[in-house]
Amino acid sequence: MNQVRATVNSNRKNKIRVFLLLAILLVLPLFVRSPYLLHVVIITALYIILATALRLPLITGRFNIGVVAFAAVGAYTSALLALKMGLNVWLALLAGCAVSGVVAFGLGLIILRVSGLYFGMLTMCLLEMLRHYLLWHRKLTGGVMGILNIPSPTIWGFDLGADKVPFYYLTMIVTVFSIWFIYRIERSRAGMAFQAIGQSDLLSEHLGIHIARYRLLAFVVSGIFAGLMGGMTAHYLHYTSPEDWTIMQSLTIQIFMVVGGRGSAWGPIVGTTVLMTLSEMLRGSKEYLPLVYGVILIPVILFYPRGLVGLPHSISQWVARRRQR
Amino acid sequence: MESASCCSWSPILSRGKTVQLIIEMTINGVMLATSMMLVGLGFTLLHSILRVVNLAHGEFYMFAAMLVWYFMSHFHLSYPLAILISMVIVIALGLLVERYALRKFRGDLLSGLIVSMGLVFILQQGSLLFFGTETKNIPSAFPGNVAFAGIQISKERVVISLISLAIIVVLIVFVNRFKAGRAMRAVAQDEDAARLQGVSIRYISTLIMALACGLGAIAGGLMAPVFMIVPTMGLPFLLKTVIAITLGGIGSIGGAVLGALIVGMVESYVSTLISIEIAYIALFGILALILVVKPGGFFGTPYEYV
Amino acid sequence: MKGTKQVWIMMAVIFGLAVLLPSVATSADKYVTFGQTEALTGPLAGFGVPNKRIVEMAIEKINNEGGFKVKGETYKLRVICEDNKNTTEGAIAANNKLIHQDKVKIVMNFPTTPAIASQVVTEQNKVINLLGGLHHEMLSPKKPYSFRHVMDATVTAPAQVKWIIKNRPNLKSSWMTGADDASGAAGVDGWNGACNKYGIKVLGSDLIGRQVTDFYPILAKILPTNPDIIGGNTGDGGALLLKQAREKGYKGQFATPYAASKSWIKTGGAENLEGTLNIGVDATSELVPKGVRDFHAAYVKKFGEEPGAWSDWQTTPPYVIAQALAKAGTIDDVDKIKAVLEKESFNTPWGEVRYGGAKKFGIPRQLLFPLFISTVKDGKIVVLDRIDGAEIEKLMSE
Repeated sequence: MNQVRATVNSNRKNKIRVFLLLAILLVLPLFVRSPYLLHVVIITALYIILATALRLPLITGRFNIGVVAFAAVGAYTSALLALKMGLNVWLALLAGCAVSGVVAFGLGLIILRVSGLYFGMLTMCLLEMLRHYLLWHRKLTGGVMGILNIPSPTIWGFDLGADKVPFYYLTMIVTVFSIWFIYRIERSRAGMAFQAIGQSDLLSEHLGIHIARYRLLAFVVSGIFAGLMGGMTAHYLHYTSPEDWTIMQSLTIQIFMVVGGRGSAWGPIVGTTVLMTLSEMLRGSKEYLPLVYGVILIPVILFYPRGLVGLPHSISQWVARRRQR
Repeated sequence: MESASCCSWSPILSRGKTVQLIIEMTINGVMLATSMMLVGLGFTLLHSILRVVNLAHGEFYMFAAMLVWYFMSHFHLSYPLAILISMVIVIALGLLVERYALRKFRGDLLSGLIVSMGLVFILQQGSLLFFGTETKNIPSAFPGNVAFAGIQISKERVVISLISLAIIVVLIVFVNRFKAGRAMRAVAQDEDAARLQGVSIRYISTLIMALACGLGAIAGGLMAPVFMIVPTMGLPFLLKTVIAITLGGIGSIGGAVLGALIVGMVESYVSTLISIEIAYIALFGILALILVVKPGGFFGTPYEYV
Repeated sequence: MKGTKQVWIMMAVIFGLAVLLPSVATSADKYVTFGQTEALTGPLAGFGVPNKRIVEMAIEKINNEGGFKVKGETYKLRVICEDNKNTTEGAIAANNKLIHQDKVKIVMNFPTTPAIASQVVTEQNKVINLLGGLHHEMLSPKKPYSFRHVMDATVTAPAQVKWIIKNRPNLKSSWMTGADDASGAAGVDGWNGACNKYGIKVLGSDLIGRQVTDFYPILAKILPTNPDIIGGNTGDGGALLLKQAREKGYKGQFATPYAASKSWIKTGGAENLEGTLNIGVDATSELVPKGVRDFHAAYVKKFGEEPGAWSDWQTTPPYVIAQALAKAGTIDDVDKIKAVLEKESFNTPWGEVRYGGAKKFGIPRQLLFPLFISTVKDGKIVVLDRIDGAEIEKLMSE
């Protein structure tokens, strides 16, 4: 009985936390007026989508180190459709997700059977392949010059991208939806299967779980949301080029996710927020930023390999232990 | 402006002299390959035996090259001495990193990745700021050309290829004949069994890291006069190298050589016949293909660790 | 569990404070602050870091010489330099910070990808954008607040190629290569365009990644076509390509649509690059404006190495800004400043310069510098000829 109450209480606590966060997000623009800070929040939210999407195949044991490739597919598809075909931006965004999902499906059928480091490397290589293709096919993609003048989404003629505040709300809606959707998948039967597969292939098979199918599902969902993030980014920044989708950036997202905590749904959120804030606060170090960042990053991952989500618990335990003395 | 457009089949072939072209492309491929072998070997040792992924391996290579330049230009040391000293420094650095950072993450791919990313940031930007922003060069140790089958090849590249092959031969002998080498293979196969046999994992870890960093440092020192030294020469080079060893089979020395040759040949042939961009696409495509068909590469054995 | 909750709250509070605390911006009345974004990290940091330093040097010099007067009041210059990481997102974040947090009215942006990205922000907020980028679409009547102070190959190549046609009539075909980024592509496009216009046959061209250092395969493709001119990359890799061409036995003419720097020559080897035609500037040549020579020498003295390839040009904006503000009589009326920039000429280390190019771009937004046709002789850059801004303007608009 006590155990049930504890679970119900912790669920309630979680729900309170979430509601609190949503409330803060809702009224944020009232307190944060600077377009610069709003920009940072928007970009952080978009990265959160990507980091969260990244986590899903990770649960099944596949490190998608080149995840930014799917974002690039989404970005270019959406941008090109909106610009060259004059397609409505919302439809273009959806198309971007769809194409990216289809690509994930096709690729997944082939590459998901590879495991561990090899898979990670493979995705890195696919990212480079995509980047080189973008550079080469100048007529379609603009090559190295990229795509300029990408339009923003509009609602009944109202340009959502003209001012930061409307786009902020759009981004929040999209981000919250993405996180919620992926969370629900994690909590569903499919999610249980993901966990099982991630822990042991052999046992999962014996349990009757169709490993390949679930891995593919995780990969495709991750691809779709990565594509969403890419499309949103392109329509927000109004410009994209192959320089925006590099291995460095893909690795940066990995860092966000791992530092936050790869075992928890809050992990990517916490990691991205903390590290993005840190980078912006450390702007003063100018050209020394990578040094400072590296010096901070290494101890953090050494002491908290499971991520910062475990930090409050560790601190409170440490405090409790001190009190006992 | 696309180069000789991929879709119109290669104009260069229409100029005749096909045999000479093939010889040239093959030689170029071998040259490309030898530049990758040493670094690739270091990485493969680290990965297969120590089960760590060290993305900063390319940065060690770059750092070694920077140090060689630094000692030659600021302290006027001779080329061989500079290489020696930079080897010592890089190995020392690598041992520190292994002991305090990488050892903890053996088997944990993702954490090791993140730690090595931190190292990449520090080494790359640190080198830029400490050694200066200018591109650096070292005068060639073996200037001049040598003619081979009607084609001009730089003497330096030939020497480097020979040295690389010599080092590889020594390594193969070491791994097969000497006790330490066999201990390495034992750890690669089954760590617990090796422990039971009395192999000290700590000793092997140290040895492997020293070996890997040493190889990377020699490669950096050797390649420094051939190319130019910039802080960003680490990662792209490492990626190509990793493709090579993955193709050949991680954990296998012969695989590293074979993989490097394949990569070198593909890059050489496709770059010449079509264009460099297509060469990269082809390279990654081949890797994808091989990995899917035979995940361990040609000579390697696939294994999983989370 | 109570302990954990307290910790969460504490962390959230600290976090919130840290985020919402406005950054300290001390500004005495006597300073005008402008913004600068450079690639301080990433593959182009070799350009960005020297640029940051040389702009600081330029500002120091202007301030030491008394600053500038706006409506009787003396002002000094100050710059805030942010890292744009050579990405779109980085550029937009940096520009947003400079405009909305530091409240600057003028920004500089370099290199190309961040510069293009930054225009979205600066045009929308009516902030003057002094661009260092190499995309011809950057300057247009649709972007009235964007001014450019570097000359890309579409501007300089016509003059350079025409000179070659006139003075080296034996050179009839070319194969140009460039980096696979914006400056490389612009160089190749500009060069090929000029060649086509003035009659040099373009046998082909290549865009090669900056990380490529082994050019033998590409040369195996290029050399059999026997071009009279082979062109090198904008980065130091281009010098390597030319060096390897010599290794393979090529005896023909080298050229580059940009400037050969000292490190470029060192990378390729002086003997290999002897005679390469370029538009470089040697810090000791008499034909080069004294101001440029002085800055170059001062940089070498202070930092012990050569500045980046674009740094000589980056000395210009602080001078332009100081004089434009003085002539406009305002420190924040952007439209007045814009009008002054369009019409007046400015005294910079490069001499007297002004923004032109109305015929080519539809609006006068290109700063026109004297162009130096140079060659490499005995490992040094030797200036052969000088083409003035007016002539360049005429040629690029033809």
